[in-house]
Amino acid sequence: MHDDTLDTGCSEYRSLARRDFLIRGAGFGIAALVPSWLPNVVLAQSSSTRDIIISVFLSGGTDGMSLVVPFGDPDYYTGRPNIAVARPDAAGSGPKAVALDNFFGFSPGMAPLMPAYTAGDLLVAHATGSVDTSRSHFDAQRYIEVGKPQDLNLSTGWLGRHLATVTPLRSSAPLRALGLTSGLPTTLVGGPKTLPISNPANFRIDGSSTTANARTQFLAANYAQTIDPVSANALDTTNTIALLQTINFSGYTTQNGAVYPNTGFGNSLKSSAALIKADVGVEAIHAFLGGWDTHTLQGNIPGVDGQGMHNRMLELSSSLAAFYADVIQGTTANGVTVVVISEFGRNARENGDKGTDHGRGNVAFAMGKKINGGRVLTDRWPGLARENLESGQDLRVTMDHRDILAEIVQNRLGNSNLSTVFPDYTPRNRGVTKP
Amino acid sequence: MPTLPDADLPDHEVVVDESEPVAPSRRRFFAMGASAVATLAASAAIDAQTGRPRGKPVAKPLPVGAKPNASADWKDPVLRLVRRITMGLEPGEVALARQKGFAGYLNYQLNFSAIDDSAVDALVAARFPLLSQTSAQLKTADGGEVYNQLADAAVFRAMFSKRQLKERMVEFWTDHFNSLYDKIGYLKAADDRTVIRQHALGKFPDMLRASAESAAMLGYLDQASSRKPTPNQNYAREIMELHTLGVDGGYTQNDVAQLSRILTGWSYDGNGVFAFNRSFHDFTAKTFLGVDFPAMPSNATAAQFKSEGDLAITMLVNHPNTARYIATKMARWLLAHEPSAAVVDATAAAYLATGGDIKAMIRTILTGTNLMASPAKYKRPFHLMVSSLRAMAIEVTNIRSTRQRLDAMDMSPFYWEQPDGYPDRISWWSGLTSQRWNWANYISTQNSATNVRLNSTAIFRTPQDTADGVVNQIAVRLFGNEMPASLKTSLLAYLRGGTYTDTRVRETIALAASSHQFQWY
Repeated sequence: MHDDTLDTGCSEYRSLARRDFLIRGAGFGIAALVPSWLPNVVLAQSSSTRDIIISVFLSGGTDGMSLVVPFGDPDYYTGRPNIAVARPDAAGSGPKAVALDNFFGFSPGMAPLMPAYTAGDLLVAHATGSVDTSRSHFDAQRYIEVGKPQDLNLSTGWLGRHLATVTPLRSSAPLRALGLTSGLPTTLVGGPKTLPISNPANFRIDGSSTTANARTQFLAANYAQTIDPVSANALDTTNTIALLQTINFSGYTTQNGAVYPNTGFGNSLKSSAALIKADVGVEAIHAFLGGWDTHTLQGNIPGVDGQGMHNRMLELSSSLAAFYADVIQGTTANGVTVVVISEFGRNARENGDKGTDHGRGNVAFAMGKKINGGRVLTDRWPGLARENLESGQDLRVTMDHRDILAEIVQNRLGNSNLSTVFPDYTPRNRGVTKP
Repeated sequence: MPTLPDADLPDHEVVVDESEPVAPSRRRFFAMGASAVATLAASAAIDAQTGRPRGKPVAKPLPVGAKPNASADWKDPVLRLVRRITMGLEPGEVALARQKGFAGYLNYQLNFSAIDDSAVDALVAARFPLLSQTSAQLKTADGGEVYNQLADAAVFRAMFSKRQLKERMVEFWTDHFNSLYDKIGYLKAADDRTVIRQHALGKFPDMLRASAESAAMLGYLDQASSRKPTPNQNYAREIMELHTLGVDGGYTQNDVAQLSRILTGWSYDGNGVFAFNRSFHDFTAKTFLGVDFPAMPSNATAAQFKSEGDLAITMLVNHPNTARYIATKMARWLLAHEPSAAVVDATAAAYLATGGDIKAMIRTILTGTNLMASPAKYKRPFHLMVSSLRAMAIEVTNIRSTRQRLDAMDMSPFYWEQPDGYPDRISWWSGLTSQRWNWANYISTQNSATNVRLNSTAIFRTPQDTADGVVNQIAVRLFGNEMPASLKTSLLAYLRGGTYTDTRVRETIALAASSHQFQWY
């Protein structure tokens, strides 16, 4: 069985961990700045080269072999007689994969991401995932959000711990991170000045707009009289409401002719773009896109089986493509890195309903100017022949998704406290980021 | 309306005449405002009536510069008790508690089966009929509808049941024995009925045994499919870590592995009913927590195989670390996020002395002295919702759309994923501030004959349809008349800051329910 509990972290990581230790030993007096639940950490210094991160979670377990088709593996076609996407060089005029290299290709629904890929700004990682073998949505998702598999008692998220151990991008920012969600996603739990805001364009005090200011003033004064964190959270909330009111979300104009799809996810990324362009100190945004639990009539290509999966891929790819053109190729004070992961992939073989059941290995994406993209990153494609499958059914996980995240956290987000962000894990350097 | 002194948290300097024997005459006097002396003295006298020994006061003065939370304004021990053992103040309940007194009201709520709740039971049965069905019947029902009825009934009972302490403990045990509806579906309906509600104020060992044979728990923690030779350790770990001993309860990873072998075969049948699966059971020798479980003959009966698990569970419920763990968690729930060691010790002792009697533990925790010394706790969204509904006397025709507001407050019933249950920590919930304010705005504006209605005229604009009259009613209904003068002043200022209309009145009610003072209990 494949063992992903790597102890062979590259020397860079090791030397950094060693340096952390030495600095800690020297007793930097920063304890008062960090939450009490953290072990001693080194607060990474703010830097203009630090990126803002957009973290996207594809909930439901997306079928990575439909997003990024391993057309060079013949067992892909034998295992999926009804739902496979045709090779780029297949005969006929029907929908085909778009080649990324001589082995992998995008499904037609992912094709809008080709410009980012060919520009070298989009990295596709395949056969990635968690060391935890759970095929339960909630276990698998939770472990990925927490950043540590099989720990049911760690309640903070990897991105929250990152925020807690790095100096703010802007010290005066009322809002450092947000989840585009109704509640605070686990990924962000533990982050200071972090709020769940399902729609930044509409984050406000409900009720009459005529009295909104007076009511907000009433509440701000009222909550100033109580204890933290209740008082601080209320202050963050009222400040954030005021901040977001200064941003013209509805009149936001994209750059480079980018057009976001008018869907929940498209609008989420458009709001994120407006927030980033406004340069108000927001440094992390977490979003979800669901609908990937495709047990029946998957519909990977246009005109087939209701093309549900095709439409969902199109929503993902055209939203990300618009964000790429508008933000990553646009004008921003800080660079922006996007990561996209899902809780698990799906079975190598289709089931009897032209769908796929819960599996293991999956794709992940990273996108940004400093991402070493334009290629499909694998740690030896494990193959889809039955004897190579995990439990006889699934693409093996050959790369821990934390390798991808950790490299971004360290090199793009300027935080070397990897042992706090990803406890008990030594990430392997996969060359995700550019030097 | 009496005016209340705007005092800080009392300085707990105790004046005790040590020459006097322990008796009702032995009273403590606290150096504080005159009106509070009487109430505290009364609480001490109430404790004395219970005959329980009283230790030193456990509250610490606030650190210099710290802001007080709402408890600084709460002088009346009976009101504090009502806040803690109900889902929120409500004038009828407050009057009842005052009439019965501290010990009398606590006894009344503890002796819940003597409280006639038939009216609510009948309404629940009529409105949520799926909840009285067995798992075998429910397995063909629409899972979404089962969920909706289960979640609606949770809010409905919490709001209307007269057995309010039981509802508070149902919430507590629902988290203690958490399971996720998304994973186990309709099986939760039977679990709610036969595990949580059946034993919420009973004996802890009975509840644990019921949970261990509940299909919902066996499914949620993957026990049902656990079989030799490589059993699933999920339930074996959590029954120790989360249900009994606690994470530092003295067991090892090997104990987890051994218990998982002992429990192989604990499963359920196609009707969602507990069934021991003898072909799953590992009957070879084991050692669990230092006790040998000898190998059994392969032809032993299913009951003999299962008895190994029964014995292990008996070991767990009798373990002093279980007593301490449950005592700590209950004291946190009922008293303070950080209960004193003395309270935990006494409560653990009560567990061991009574075989895990939950009522005996509650009596130990909820003395007047302990309550007066404890800071206020922060309401979780479910508690905030129900306390608002009670304080505003919301008329309910259909609770569903209102209950679904819990989703926006991130506390959908039965939807906490991890086995540890929804957190009871301020930091977890306080980030959802605007969601709380928007909840208050939502409920204060409801005026629907088909869903829910705030009858602002009858409830807040009577007997006096003036700004003073409305704010007085807010003080009575939302704060049991213990509303700080500063809040009264600012609410009056808001209400008078615009034309006096029903809309303005409702906004003022929403602000009162949004105020930090209403977030505590």
